[in-house]
Amino acid sequence: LFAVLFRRHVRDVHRFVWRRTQDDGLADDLTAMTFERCWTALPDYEPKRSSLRPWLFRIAANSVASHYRAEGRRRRREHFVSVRDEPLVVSTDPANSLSDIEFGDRSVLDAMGRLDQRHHEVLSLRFLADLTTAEAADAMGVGSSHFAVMQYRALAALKRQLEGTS
Amino acid sequence: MNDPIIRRLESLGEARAPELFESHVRTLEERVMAAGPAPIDKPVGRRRAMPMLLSAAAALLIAVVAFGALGGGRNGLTVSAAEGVVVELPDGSSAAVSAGDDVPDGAIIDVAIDGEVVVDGQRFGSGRYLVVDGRLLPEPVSSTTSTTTTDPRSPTTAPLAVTPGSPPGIDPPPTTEIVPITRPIDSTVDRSRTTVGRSTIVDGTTTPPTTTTTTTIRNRPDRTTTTTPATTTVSPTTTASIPSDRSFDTRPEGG
Repeated sequence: LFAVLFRRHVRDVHRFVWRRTQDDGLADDLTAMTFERCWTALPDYEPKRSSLRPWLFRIAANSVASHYRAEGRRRRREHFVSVRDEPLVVSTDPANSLSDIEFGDRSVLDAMGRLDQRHHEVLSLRFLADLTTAEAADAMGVGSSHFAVMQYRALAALKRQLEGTS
Repeated sequence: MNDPIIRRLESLGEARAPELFESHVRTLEERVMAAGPAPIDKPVGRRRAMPMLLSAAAALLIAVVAFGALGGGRNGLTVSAAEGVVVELPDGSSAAVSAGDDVPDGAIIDVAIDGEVVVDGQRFGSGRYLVVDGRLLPEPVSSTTSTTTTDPRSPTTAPLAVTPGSPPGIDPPPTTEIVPITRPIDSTVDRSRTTVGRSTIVDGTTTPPTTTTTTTIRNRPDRTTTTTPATTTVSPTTTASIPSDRSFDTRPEGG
């Protein structure tokens, strides 16, 4: 059963993780971690509560958020600022914005990494996981209206992070 | 307000990710199968540790408070300074007290007239003190002293005020004032009525007459003494014996 599940969903999960990390090696690691956790949690999975695909993506989003949280702690401990943490100046010029998107909007991704886990998961599932809003709400275990409120708050938090960075 | 951010997020979601080839998928699959299910990682850290720490701190606080409320294990006191002080220990033995000595609860500290004892920064002068729960309390006056009575029939007796010596720093105990009865006890028979019945003869035997004496005491009209039968000599002037049921008013001084 697990092998079938893996074969069916590994590409979607890997794509989702890569969009969030934009790092091949890290995407492989987090994809593997996601399926290992899925394997562990599979006996407790309740189809009545959530569909399999949203449930799997929730695990993936959780793995990514956990990774960035741990990474943030490690960086704070070591007072290490990597090159990729240097904030990018987000230009209001549409041409420059397009350029940012083309090469990956790292400032947004980095700001997401500084959000708390719940906000991080909401935005990842909603915008990076190819899930519908209903599926994302299902993954979070809440109703659509509740999820809309969570998304609003997560976006506000992300905006604060971006403003603080700039 | 979030429109530009939403647009950027949607753009990130539309970014082209590298496709996984079959070989890559197989590699990942082997890796996951080799690793097996991930161990269940229980949340540790501040979120889990803080409630535990708070619970432990609360339990410790409760224990400390309860310990203090129950006496805190203190079962005596330490004398800071003493001069002319003798202690009577609960076992009956006596000893002189000097600075630094520990005196257990239940002991009686006897301070001479010109002596003094200092406990917890408080100075106590001449007198006898009982050590209770690590504190010095004036030794309660013995019952024989407090119940000293005066002749109730001498209303001119001055009120006896029992005021034990109050050392500085200690609230003096309430003063007990014994007020003698001012109303004289009158044992005079106010009215005595004796009724003598007739002698009766039954079967040749003479039965003595029954005599009933009713005595009413003035001021106590509710008391009536009835004696029957009066086969003995009946005295025309009967004097009732009044029990000495004296009562004392015990009121605080000034109250």
